[in-house]
Amino acid sequence: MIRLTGVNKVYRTEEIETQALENVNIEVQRGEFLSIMGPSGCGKSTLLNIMGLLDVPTSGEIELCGTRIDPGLSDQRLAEFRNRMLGFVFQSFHLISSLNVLDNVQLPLMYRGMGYGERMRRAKEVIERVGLSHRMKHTPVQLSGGQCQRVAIARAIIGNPEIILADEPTGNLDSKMGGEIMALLKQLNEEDGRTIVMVTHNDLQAQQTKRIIKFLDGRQIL
Amino acid sequence: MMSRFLIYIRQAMALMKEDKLFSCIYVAGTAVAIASAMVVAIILNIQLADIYPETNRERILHMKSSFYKEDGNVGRWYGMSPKGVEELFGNLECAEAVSASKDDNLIYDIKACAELGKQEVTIFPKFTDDAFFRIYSFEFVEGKPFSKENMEHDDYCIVITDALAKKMWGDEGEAVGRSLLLNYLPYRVVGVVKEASPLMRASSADVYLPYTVKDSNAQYNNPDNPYSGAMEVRVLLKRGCTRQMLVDELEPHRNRILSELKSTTGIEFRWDIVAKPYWADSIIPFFPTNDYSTGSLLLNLLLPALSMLLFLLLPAINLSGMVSNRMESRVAEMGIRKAFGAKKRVLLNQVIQENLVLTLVGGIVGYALSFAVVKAISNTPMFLTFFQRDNDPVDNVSMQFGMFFTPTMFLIAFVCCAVLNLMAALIPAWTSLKRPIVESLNQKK
Repeated sequence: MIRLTGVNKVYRTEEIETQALENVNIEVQRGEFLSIMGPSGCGKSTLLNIMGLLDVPTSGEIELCGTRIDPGLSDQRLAEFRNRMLGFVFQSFHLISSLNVLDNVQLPLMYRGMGYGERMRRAKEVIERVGLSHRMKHTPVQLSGGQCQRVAIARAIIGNPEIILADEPTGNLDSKMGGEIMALLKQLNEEDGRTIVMVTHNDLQAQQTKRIIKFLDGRQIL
Repeated sequence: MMSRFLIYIRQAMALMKEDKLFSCIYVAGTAVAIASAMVVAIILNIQLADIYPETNRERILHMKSSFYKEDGNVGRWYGMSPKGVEELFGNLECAEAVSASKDDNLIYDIKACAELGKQEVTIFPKFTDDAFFRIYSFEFVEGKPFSKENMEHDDYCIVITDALAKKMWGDEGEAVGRSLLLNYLPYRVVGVVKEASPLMRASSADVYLPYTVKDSNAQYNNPDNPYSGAMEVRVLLKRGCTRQMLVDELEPHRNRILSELKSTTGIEFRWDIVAKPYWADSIIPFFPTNDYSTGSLLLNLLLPALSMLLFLLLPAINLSGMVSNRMESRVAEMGIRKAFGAKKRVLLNQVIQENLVLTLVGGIVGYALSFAVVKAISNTPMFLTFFQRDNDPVDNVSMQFGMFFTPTMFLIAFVCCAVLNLMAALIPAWTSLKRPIVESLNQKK
């Protein structure tokens, strides 16, 4: 489902050069729930961003859902790929504060060109699934952190993507809410068969996933 | 497509609510820029456009006449006598109508009242002739203009405005046929016209009287020269005729009159006749000239146009700095949208539509504001200066919709503001869209 081969990421400034990822080779199978662990600054999020086509590697190959992501791929093709194949859950939710829950959730479908009625129907369906049907017209500032992350999960799954990439999805939540979000992600993996790659610091949560890989200083150590 | 547009509008509205201060400044900044430019545009519109009753301005010429003695004696006489008008302008091929009026301001102290003992009001008179009502397109609410026969019989008949009629008789029925006392002399009302705004200097008055009535002093002429007098002339050109054609047609008449004058008085006169287009009397001549070509008009419009541009651009440029900052703070949002599949083109469209909605709101507010500003300052001497009425007894300036209706100028001002606002929003948006999404996502709000 995901294959990274010889991926390197180097951040260069005028004075220094930082190797964020060094010769990373990872393969994630369909239906896997994978945790990436490691200390801060070890390159976990960079790896997830590269997997999600939110960032570009300095060198190396990426293959997603059987498609090799050519570095010269047009912005339009990349946008379509992200829209149809990938769903993101971020630590800081990244909801659009001027939109209500319903409009935030239906965002990926809007960029797919789906009709308004169908978008709304599906948005209500996934919002109900994450248990927020009573908050549809609320804006993010009117929601708790846990509720915001549920909205983010609803947005990530509304387009039925093959892969969900979650960057410390419980990092900003207390343990109770974090547990609820983990339960939701496990449900998506076990019941829907979605492939999930999650970056986390939390050992307990990582233990709940099917596989753990560990990073240190940009290199995979486990 | 439509639903996406509606979402952008909703988002623009939500953004307005979310950051009320910014939205207020955005809308107010756009409104001030557009209103400032539109005030100048409205003034120019009143000065230059076809507005009731001056709906043939392109074809109206104001004939300025001045006589000099060529014997070296200093002396100059402006204006013509009725005889001069008759002899110079009678039977012209180019003219559809020729009207003589007394435009001077010697006879302002005229009081009008419906009958003795009733309320008196000071009125603004215009001594003119029957042709005046063929040059200007007055709408007669009642009756008709006074006729050539009325003038020949020195009839004391008048045309008054509906506003004066209401002031004099309220809703007591028709004014035509009634008698109005002007400086205690009775005049018969023969017609009532819809009032022209005092800003229409050439045509507006409260009462239109035949210049043949005794009080007009129109019959005054120079003892040395029976052609010079107190009248000014306006000519309505026939369609297809030009100013130059009229000047050429007048030339032989002028020469004939000058040679007759020399033979009857023994004095050699010089007679300058200038045919001024309507705009020469309307706009303030920043570059005074006797050349009344289109080029000269454009030259004289340069300063108002520049001031309009300045009024428009100064607030708009200040505003664009704010818009740009605000857009910088939305870079993360652009990143989120891209992460979920938005293409660059779609996001740029969104930025354009959101800014257009806000600019449109500002534009409409600005246009309305310009009406309010013009209305508020319309009685001030500064405003009346633009219409050369600052020395006239104008105490209530009525204005019509046509004076404010300047869609072309509004569109120009709106497009200027929209372009500046869009550039201010699009440049940071475009820069952020070129960066990797992760950089946009990590941008601090």
